[in-house]
Amino acid sequence: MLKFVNSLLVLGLLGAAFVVYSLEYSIKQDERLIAKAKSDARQTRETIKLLNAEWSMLTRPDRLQRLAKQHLNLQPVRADQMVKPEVIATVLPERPAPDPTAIKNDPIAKMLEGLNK
Amino acid sequence: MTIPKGNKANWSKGRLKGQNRLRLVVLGFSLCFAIIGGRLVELSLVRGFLQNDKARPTHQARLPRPDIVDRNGMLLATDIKVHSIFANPRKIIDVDEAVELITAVLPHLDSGKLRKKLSNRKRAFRWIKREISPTLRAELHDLGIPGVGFRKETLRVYPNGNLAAHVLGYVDVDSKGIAGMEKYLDDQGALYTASLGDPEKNASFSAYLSIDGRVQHAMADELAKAVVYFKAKAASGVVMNANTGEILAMVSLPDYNPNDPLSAQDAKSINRVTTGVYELGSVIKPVTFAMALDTGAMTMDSRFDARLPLAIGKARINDFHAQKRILTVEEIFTYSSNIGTARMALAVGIEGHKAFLRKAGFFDKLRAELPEAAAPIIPKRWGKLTTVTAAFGHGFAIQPLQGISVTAALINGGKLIPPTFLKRGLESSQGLATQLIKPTTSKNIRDLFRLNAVSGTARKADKIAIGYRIGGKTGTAEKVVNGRYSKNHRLNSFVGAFPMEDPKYVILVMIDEPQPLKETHGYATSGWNAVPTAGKVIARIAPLLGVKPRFTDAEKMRLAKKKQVH
Repeated sequence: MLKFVNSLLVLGLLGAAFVVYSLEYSIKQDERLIAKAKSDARQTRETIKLLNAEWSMLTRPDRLQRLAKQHLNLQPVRADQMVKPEVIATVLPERPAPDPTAIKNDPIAKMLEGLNK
Repeated sequence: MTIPKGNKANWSKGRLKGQNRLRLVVLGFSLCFAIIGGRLVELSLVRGFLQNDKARPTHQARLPRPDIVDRNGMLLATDIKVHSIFANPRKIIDVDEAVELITAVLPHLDSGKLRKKLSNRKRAFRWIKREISPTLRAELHDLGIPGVGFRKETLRVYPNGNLAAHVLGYVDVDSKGIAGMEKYLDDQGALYTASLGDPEKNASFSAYLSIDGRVQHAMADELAKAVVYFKAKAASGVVMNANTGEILAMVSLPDYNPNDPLSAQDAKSINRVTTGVYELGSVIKPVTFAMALDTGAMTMDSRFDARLPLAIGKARINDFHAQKRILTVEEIFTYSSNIGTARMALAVGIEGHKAFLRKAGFFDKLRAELPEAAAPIIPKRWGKLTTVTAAFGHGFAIQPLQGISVTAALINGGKLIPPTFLKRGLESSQGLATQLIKPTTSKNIRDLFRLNAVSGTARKADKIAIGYRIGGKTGTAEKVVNGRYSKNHRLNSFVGAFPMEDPKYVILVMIDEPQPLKETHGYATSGWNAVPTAGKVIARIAPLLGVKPRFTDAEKMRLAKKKQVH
């Protein structure tokens, strides 16, 4: 009787040990996944911060002003050029009628045609 | 277990003895395990499921410094992770190969010095290069040079360079704020930083400043041009929301680059708006006007005698644009008459004058968020002469920021609102406001400001910023050089607001020692330099701030003429 109980207990112990071991193993696996996900998230956040910093460095007002002056044929808006949306129709000049010769000499259209050939 | 046969009584007695002892041990162990088991059940089942008090890991990482952004979310300061490369010369196998590979990726490194560094086998740690970008790090990492390693460091960067440097301040090598808003954020403590952030996500929110990056840049750009054009020593400027006390721009030139804190050490690059105190001169006159009107010592129809210089003891007060006649209140304002303003202050009386200046906060150190704030310099004995000179802004020195915040109170309906560098709502600022003067007095001051821009000393600004209904007061203060007021060293200023019928923004421009030029016909008074500079700033920032231009018929005619010329 005692022998039977003892062997049952040993078997039970072995079973429990196996269950605990496999649980621990799978938990370790999960932990590894979590740690990887966390470090990925941190990495991504760091990259976002870096890109944000780079973006605002590239779009800083003094740089944009310099580039606009260099490359764009634009001028600062004067106060008298501003119109209210209600009166915009009366202020804007009539749209000129499309010029057929201009369409023929359209360089972009020619390029597109060249691509099709 | 072998049990000796025979002597049954002895055996049974011995067994009984052993059994009792065994029972005691079993009981003891069971008790221990029962306690442990019970505690386990309590922690995991009772607390975990029934009371829902789950155990969770405590957050131990240090809260990162919050980003600093302007009022529209433009990034002004942030933390980035940078990689630094180091080498352990003892572990390097082939020095020549290592030097060749490293200089191939980092061509700016001096290969001779690097070879020397790596050949010294006495040292186990040498920095090769601090703060390299992640792409370079990846390249070097892929080369797999033995003995070369990487370390991650946090670096505070200010992507906009000099923009708003005096507001932002800077941090030391340990990322601790030592000036400006950076120091302010640190001084508020971890709790304040935590309130900006989300501890669950290990990410902090941003600290929103009241500064508008676009306005800040426009001001800095125009001031820099003015410094060059007028060969001035320095310049500073402030734009403030008249109704909330928020500072949209604060520029002080020369400035510095917070990415390089050493450049901030130069005494020339102090913040002239809050760290310096100045005799502001005539831009303080509106305060005297408001005081005299508010206390009932004069009305808008009063007249003051400016025929002769005002003699107080041995001192004589003169006018710069002397008219030598009896002047109306409006004339005193537009001619900026010292004699007239002094007579107003005398009409109020010495004690009344002092009380009003105290109410305006001129006797106390103004402390917005910036730790760099200077106390005003007030004469110890305040006599009749002090009142007379203080009436036109001499004899006491204050921060320019104090000047502009009181000017805001004079024109916004009389509410004195403490200035702030943090974003603030209209309601919360109204709660902080104290009534300095009556709204009707404020209306009179607005009219005087506008009049001065239409026909007084601030005409040039109105011509440049046409359509934005600006108003303001000029000041040309002689600086004290070697203990005496010097005619050739001036601190010129303009304080103004727009649009004048309902002022939204107040502006202050100060130019330190502008030189007379051929283009200014040899004049170097404020109307020739500070005023047009302020006009240019307003013409640039008014559209950004959503102030719509409106033209009178005369202005439309002038614009039409201009167009024909073009």
